[in-house]
Amino acid sequence: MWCFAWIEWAQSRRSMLWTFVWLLALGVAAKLVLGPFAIGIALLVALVSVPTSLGAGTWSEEFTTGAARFLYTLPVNRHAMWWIKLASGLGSSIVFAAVVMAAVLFTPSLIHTLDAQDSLLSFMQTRYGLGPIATLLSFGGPALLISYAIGLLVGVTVSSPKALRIVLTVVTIVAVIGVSTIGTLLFVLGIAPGPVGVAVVGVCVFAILLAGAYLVFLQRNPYDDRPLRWWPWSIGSVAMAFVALVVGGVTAGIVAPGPWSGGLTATSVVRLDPSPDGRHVAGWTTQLLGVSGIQLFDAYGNRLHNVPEVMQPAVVAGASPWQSHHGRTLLFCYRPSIVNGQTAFSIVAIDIDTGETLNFPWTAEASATHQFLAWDPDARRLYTARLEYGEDGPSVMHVSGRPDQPAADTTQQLGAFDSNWAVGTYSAGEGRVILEASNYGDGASGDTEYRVYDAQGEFVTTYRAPDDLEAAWVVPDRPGLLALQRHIDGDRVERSLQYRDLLTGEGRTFLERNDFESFSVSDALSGRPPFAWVDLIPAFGRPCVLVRTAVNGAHESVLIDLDNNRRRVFRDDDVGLGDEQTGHLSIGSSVSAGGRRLLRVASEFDDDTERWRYRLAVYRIDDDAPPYTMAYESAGPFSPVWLGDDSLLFLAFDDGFGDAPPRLMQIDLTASHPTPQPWGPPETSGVDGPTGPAW
Amino acid sequence: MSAHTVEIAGLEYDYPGTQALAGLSLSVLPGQTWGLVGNNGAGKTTTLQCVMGLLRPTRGTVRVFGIDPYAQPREVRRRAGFVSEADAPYDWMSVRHLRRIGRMTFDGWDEPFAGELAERFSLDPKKKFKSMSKGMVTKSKLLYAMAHRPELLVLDEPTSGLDPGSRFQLLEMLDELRTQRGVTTLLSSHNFQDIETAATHVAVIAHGRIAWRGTLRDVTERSLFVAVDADTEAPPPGVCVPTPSGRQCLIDDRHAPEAKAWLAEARPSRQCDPTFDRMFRFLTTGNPVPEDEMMAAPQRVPGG
Repeated sequence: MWCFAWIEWAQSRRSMLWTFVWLLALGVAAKLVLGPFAIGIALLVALVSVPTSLGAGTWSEEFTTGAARFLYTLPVNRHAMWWIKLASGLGSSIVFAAVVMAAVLFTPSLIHTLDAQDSLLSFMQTRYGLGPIATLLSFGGPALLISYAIGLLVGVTVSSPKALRIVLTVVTIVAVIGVSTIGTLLFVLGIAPGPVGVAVVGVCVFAILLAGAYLVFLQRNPYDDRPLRWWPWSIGSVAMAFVALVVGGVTAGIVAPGPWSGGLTATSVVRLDPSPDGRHVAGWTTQLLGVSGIQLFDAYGNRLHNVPEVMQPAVVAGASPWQSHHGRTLLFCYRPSIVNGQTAFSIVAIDIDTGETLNFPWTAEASATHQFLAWDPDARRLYTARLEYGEDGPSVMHVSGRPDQPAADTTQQLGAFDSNWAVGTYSAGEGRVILEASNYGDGASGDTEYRVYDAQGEFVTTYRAPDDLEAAWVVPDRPGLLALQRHIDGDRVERSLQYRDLLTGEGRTFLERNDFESFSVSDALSGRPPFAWVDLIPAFGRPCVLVRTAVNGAHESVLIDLDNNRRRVFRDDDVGLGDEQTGHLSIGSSVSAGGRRLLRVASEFDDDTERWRYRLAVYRIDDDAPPYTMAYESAGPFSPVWLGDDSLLFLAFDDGFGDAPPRLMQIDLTASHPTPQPWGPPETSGVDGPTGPAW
Repeated sequence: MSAHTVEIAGLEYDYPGTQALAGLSLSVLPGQTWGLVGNNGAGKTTTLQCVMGLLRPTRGTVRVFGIDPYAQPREVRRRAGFVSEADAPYDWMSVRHLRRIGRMTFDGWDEPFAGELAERFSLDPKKKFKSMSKGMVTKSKLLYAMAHRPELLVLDEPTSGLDPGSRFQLLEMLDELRTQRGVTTLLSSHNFQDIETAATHVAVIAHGRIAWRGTLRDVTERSLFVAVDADTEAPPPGVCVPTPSGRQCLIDDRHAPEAKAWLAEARPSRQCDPTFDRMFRFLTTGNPVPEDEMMAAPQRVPGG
């Protein structure tokens, strides 16, 4: 046996060094030129093509040159020969795979800086709770073993086809298909899920392939065989052509512009989240394996902006994922990971212009949410308030830190409340936090207070909502409230809209008492005050408020810029969003990124059809152009999304049950007759078609 | 335990669509050197491969040292040396590598003897097989087959490709091994001179069977070609082929009692002494001895 081991070693080492050098150079070059895409190619090469070719070549030289006959004349156990060759082939496959992967993973890219391998490993950590080694063992290991065994089976069968060997091969393949199917079913049904299930099924498939190859090998006798001497070249050529085709296809799919640009992932957009400047959109997507991830679309380029797998499995962070400062746009994401068997989230910010990632290693339980994210580009510091719900009630932490200085992170508890309290937090600008806490316990009618904390999480001041405060809204990134205030004058009640600075206590009135219709105390007590609807619009870039009310029987809306008190008045009746008493319900409003258009959505119940109708109105707010209106009938409401240069509007229709991704429509508002057109993301369909989007 | 080193009985071997051996039987005693001769495809190589346990007999039995070589190949191969044109060491190997393999493989590997053989065969120990001539490769295989001092040598056309000097050297060495060490040898060759030089016994293989076996002396002293008329009714005690005038038969001493009676009845008209060449042609091709080589009969009776 030792003699054969020596022969195998002496034979294997002949070209080992050059193969190492060749693979190393190939991996380095691929990573330099292709960047993170090279990792996918390297995985294909390392886990599929190299092991397969090594498997097919395990006995090729022996069976085609007469060396096998020489070996058979030795007083050596042929079973030992098999296992030594097998160990050698598998060992070589593993070493070669390691060389390829090491070359790719440890080489910086010249054109891409996104940390793909980190994201890949993070994906495995999140999805399956696996570290790098466990990932390799669970997924890469079986892939490599199976690839090698396939090559081995094909190699020992094809090189000398005989009926019995072909039968053995077919039986093996049938068994592999059967086990794979059963394994897949077990995986899908959740009976054997996760990496252990995958690894077990993979090893079973490998074992079957190996057993089949072994039986075929035992049937072989080089003194009886009639080898087909042409097979290594022909089969090798076919195999290489196949591998080249796959690699070429994958590479083209990844790097070439077009529908598949950015990756071969089946994607359906479940939510579009535009950047403040409208140049980019984060699409929340559903991937093939049901893993939620993100794809970035360039609003102007009609293409994916970044590699999807780089973003996976991160999900766009909560209410304010985009931060745009000094011309740089950051997208904040949650990156899930498994810590002590529990899912936790850290925060990663991606500069979508440079690809730079900023990692904030704060982790929080899955139940925690960050109510906002405020990025100070000058101090390179991120501020947020983390709300966690425990068994006793909500608690709030103020967290801030720098990505490059973890030691500079600060965490300060702002408060812990019992379960009678509802808590919300808001960014008050400059790292400050406004904590809104309302007590609804014991039949209390909403005792609300607002606390302000500074950038270090230190308490600054508090403001208790007075009894005559009808409603209040925290103005984004301002230490103030927009308050709908009631004023009782005799038996009449009047309203005003005021901004109150919580730090200075100063107030500023935007809508006076006579801007609202007054009503009686009895109406107030009976809960039937006149309609007054206030909508803060944070997407405008500047704090604005849209107030809709009825004045002298006519419904009108006024849009007010809180910074400069500029205002624009719209008559709702003109666009069919009229009388509240007829069943209209306002749903929402938003201003386009460029600030030139305002849209409003309202719903109305049609008694004749007994269906809800949804109406959309779009106004030009930088001039007096007539508004554009349209109506839809839908089982559920739709969410409008502004993109690009204010001229593109996307509507996401949801079935209301969350069972299917929303249907997307696009409206080109610059067209003479804007008409909604069906739209799919670049990966699915319709990108280049006549009805495709302009971006 | 059988006294025979090699004992083959009713050996049959089928290749797909071809029967290579059709009931071959042969017994080889220790110290004998058997030359196997026959046309291409007669079954010589298949026989030797069955002896080495490289092929599994379709029917019949093979015993080497009393062991089934296919069932226990390692036991046989440890005690036997095998040279074949069919196998080839890796082309990156050299004689030095072969000697290393020999040391690791055979308990009885005689390294000084290996060195001596390398010297006698003028082998460059570092030269790789891919740059060797066919004769050099054969010599290297011979070194590898002999240096572990085997009790049995199975040589399939070992002189093929050898230069005359090396060929003579090899045949001389085989004789030495037989006479000094009692080595048993099975030697196949197309060269009658090799057989006549090295073999103590000859087996002519035709159509997968032993057509004739015996010593070299048996050929010339105990065999006889005779020609008889076609109307001779008594069955001949030997192998006969038809001729235009009747039949020509090869009779040897194993059939001597019947031969005398048959000769008396058949009254052969002509006869001749069988040379090895004549016998081989007669047995393997079925062609009678040319008429002009036959002489008036009777001159002698085989074995008489």
